[in-house]
Amino acid sequence: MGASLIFAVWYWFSPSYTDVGYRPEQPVPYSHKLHAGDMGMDCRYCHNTVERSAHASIPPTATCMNCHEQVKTESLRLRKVRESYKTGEPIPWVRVHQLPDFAYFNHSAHLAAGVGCASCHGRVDKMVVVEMKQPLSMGWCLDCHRDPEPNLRPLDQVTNMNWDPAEEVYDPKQDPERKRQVNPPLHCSGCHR
Amino acid sequence: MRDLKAYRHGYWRSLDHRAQSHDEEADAWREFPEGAKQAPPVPADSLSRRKFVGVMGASAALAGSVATTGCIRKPKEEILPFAERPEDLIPGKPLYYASAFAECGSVAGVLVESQDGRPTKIEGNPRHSGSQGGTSTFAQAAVLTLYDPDRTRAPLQGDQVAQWADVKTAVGEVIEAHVAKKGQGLALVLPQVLSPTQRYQLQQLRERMPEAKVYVDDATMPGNVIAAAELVGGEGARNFHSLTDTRVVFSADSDFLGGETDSTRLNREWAATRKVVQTTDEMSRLYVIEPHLSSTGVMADHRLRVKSSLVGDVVIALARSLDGQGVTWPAAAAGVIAQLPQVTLDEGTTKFVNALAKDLTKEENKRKTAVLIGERQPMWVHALGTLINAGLGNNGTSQRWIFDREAIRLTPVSELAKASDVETVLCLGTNPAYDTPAVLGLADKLAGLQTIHFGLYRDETAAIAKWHIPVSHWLETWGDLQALDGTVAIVQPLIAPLHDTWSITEWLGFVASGSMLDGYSVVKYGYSERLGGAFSEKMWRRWVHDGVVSGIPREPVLPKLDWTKLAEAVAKGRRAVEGTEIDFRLCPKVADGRLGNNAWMQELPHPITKITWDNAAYMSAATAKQFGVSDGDLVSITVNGRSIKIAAFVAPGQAEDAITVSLGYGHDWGSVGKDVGVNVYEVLPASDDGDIPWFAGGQVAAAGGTHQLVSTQDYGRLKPPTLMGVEYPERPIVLEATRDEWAKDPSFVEKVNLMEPARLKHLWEPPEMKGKQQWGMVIDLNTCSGCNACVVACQAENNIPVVGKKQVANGREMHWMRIDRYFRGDEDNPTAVVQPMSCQHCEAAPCETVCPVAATTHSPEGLNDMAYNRCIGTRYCSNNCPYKVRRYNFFNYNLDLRPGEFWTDDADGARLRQLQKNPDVTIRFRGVMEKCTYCVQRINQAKIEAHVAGKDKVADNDIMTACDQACPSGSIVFGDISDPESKVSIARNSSRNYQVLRDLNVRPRTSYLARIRNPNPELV
Repeated sequence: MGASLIFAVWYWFSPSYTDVGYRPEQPVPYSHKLHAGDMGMDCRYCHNTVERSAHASIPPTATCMNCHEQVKTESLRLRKVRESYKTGEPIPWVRVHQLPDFAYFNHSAHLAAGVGCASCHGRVDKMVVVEMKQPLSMGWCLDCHRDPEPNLRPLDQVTNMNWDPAEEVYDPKQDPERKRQVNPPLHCSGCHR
Repeated sequence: MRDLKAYRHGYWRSLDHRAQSHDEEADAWREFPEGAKQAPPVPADSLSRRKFVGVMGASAALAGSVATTGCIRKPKEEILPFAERPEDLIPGKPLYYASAFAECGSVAGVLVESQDGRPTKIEGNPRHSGSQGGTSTFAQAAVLTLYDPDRTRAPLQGDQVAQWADVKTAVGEVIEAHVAKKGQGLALVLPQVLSPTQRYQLQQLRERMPEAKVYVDDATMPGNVIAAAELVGGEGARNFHSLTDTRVVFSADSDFLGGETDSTRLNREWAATRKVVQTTDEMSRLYVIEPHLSSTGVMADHRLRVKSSLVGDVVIALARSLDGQGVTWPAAAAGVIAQLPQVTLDEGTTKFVNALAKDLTKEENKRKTAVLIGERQPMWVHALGTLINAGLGNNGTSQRWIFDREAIRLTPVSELAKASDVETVLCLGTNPAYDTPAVLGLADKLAGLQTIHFGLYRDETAAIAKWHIPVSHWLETWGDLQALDGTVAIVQPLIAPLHDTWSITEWLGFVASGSMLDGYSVVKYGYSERLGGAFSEKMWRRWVHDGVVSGIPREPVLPKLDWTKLAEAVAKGRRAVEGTEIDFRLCPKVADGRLGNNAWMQELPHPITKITWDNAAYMSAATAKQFGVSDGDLVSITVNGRSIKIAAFVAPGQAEDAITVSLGYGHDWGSVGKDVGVNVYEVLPASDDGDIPWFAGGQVAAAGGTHQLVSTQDYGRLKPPTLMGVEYPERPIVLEATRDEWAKDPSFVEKVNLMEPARLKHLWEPPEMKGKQQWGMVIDLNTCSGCNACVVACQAENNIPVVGKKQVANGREMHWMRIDRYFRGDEDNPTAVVQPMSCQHCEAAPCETVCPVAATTHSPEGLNDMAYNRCIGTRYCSNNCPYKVRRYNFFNYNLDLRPGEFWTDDADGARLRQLQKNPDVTIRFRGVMEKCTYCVQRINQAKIEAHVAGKDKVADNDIMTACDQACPSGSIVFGDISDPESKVSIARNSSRNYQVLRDLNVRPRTSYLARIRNPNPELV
């Protein structure tokens, strides 16, 4: 009885069970597969603050309209986007990757270290609807912070979804492009403040 | 063990403490801090412990059932991006905008941090002369007022909510009716006008309605200083002080370090003359005479207790003594000194004055002296002060004059009480029904007139007004402000008005011109009109960006000085006080009452008495004995037949037979400020000859009854308890020496340790610290005047909750930083030292070793980390902390808003208060320990920026903790102690550097620079 209870909590209460695979319905059926995969748009076209800020930032409606003023101008699926652009009201996107408020994750630091988007977010270029691929739990974060090298890639390959760390040979210590070697924090205040 | 007798100096924090140190046996081990009151017994009908446990059990069961039904994923959260993102805005990155605000007669330029469009924190603007990068407590507290849920959200006609359109029509009609009569019957009541735009509007008003009256109601305006400047220099003359390069400063009742005009700038300038590194370095000397120990008095090298009414006599004696020293008086003051009345002073004071006069006239101090007269002093003392400064050759150095061509002489509001032909009164940002002497009867008068009140709150004046019209806070407003030295700053809004309001400038424009223009147009087009072709868009943008108006050539015009009217003014103004002297002061926390509803300021301990949430009648121990009262006993104070009852508090350093009371308390509105303290305006005398009276004779008597005063002065005393019969000697916490002692023994700070450093052993190995940078802090006790700016800055930066008077009484205040104040010597006439104390970030931290869940651990860079989500609230860490700097959330202070204890609140109000929170710092929950983090969010931000730029280390100066940045005197230095070139390392190398309780071998990362006093050998 006791052992099964412990197992139940350990398995069913962990983010690997509760969070991985979380795929909420979005107000606009935006397909990352179409945009980032088939058309090959760079992540940073829309998530353009990712190198400068803690947040990767959901793009403003205006970014969508850069193209959609020219293409698919009548599409029914884009009705909410056009409406938002006209009225100035934001589109209520549903957050997929959600950390607790006491964990302060910073995108810019991870990009500067050469951690690929796909390492945490999975192959977004193959997702019609975005879902969580990794548990984003503290233990999972620390696995990489303790041994970051397997997840590092050349700094110019960060947004390349096809760059697979398992197949490529890359030694960050030998990379002349890197101005500093990564030294991820393992202490509490590294992420909690 | 070394003999500490010579270095102990016998410091004490309170009179209780002083009494006990003579009777150390009585000081047994106590669970609660001394001075803390035990919580009152729980009333029968409230939640009993048993019931609480029952409820908790039920809720745990409920939580279990929720969990088993599978609702354990985090709640759904939406992301709402802009439809069109504003230029330069990067979500998650704060932006800083320059602005300015008026504080106590002058202007402070500020940089306001905007987090995703919300102003959250205020820093000083280094480009502005009034700030030079530092801020005051008032500046730090401004964001809380902006989001105050008590701010009126809709206009009121009487008690009825009105529509904005109706308001504008109604006010317009009232104004037009007066325009038809050239303004007859119309009165405007304004605070001190420092805005060039508003002055321009007042000129327009005068053209449109020449008969309209404009009154000024502003207790923070240094009215007597201005009157004296005009007596000497003619209408439009203004003077101010600069302490750059001074060697001798004499303050006659001037609290220039603690809240008088330009105190932020003067703090910085004065501190620069006190920063000594070598024993041979130059250091200025400060003489202070005052009735009530102030922040300036704490810093004095020589301080005399002098009643306010006798300060002028001492200044006369000084002028005569200087005359005797052969000072050459200006030609325009020929014979004036001889006409001064004869004064008799006691022997000690005479000696003081003569020594001071000698010091002021020394050859090496020539043109490097300053005489500052307190704003509370009557006009004639100021006029005499300007003469003394002129005689000492300080015109152009420490005493600056400007001629303000556009100065508008406004009638004091006391004249409004006498005016008989007024029908309509517009109170624009003023509260005359409260902050004028009650003897004037303005409240009754305004209630009978057509009063229209424009203000942030439904205050005393609003309650009696026909209309109450909410206005914008300065953080929502366009405007401009001119400092005393002529620097003009542009005020720019950080956020659109939260409550759909217009600003005072906009309303004044409406009254003056008849049309309502937006503030931006009013300010900008005002400049373009006045400057004509010289104005350009580029220029305007630069002003707004820098926060300072530049590029306009100015020809400084100096007023022609003439002291011939001085003797007459002295004869007319000098008068004795009968009975006990009652001294009125602006409160260093709530000023004249304008911050009365600001919970940060109410909870802030008073800089000297450490009283929170109250004002009190401060008196010396001898005076208290005379009236037969002690702390908390009510006394009645009667002035001119009006009286109040207020709690007595024995304040060391107070002049005999002089009782000091602070204005600004006893509001009858506001969920924070209502009924806090006593309204002293009730007994404030009114001016009868243009002088603003700040002291008067009164009758004092014990009134029977008590009032609980909560003072934090005994909290967190760093005295080892007597344990198991072993008595440990009290160790020196603050260290000080005179310049001579320091020169004789440069390493005097080393001598106070009980143990040789070599004998100190660790019980266990301290954590390894392999970080590339090692953080540390140095606080210079020689320049810290204990002004409290750091305490409020810390509160704003780190989302520190307010707990209310009852919780402070229980010793549960949450300030991460406290300023300890120690006295030494005689109980009535002690010297004092202040010492900011927050987490010392010990390398071998005692708190870490006792935490059962490793919630507090060490970072490789030497920070004592606190992981809130691990903390289970055993409070062992706090118990084991030798510095008593850990704070525990006994309640969920951020959410549990219990009526009466904190503030009543509605959902909108709660949302408003959320807007102030710093998103980079976790909001702590009930049951969690917290403490100073060295602003780890700022450290991390700087580190990440450095890393993104490819650098391994953060450059010196790239990290400023909130306290460091706010400090007006630059007393706090933070940085990397492993870098020998960093500012903090250089400070640590000083021979004055010491660690508090070094014998404990906990190796604190915060160290202090010992206080050096610079006494005059003639007075020792």
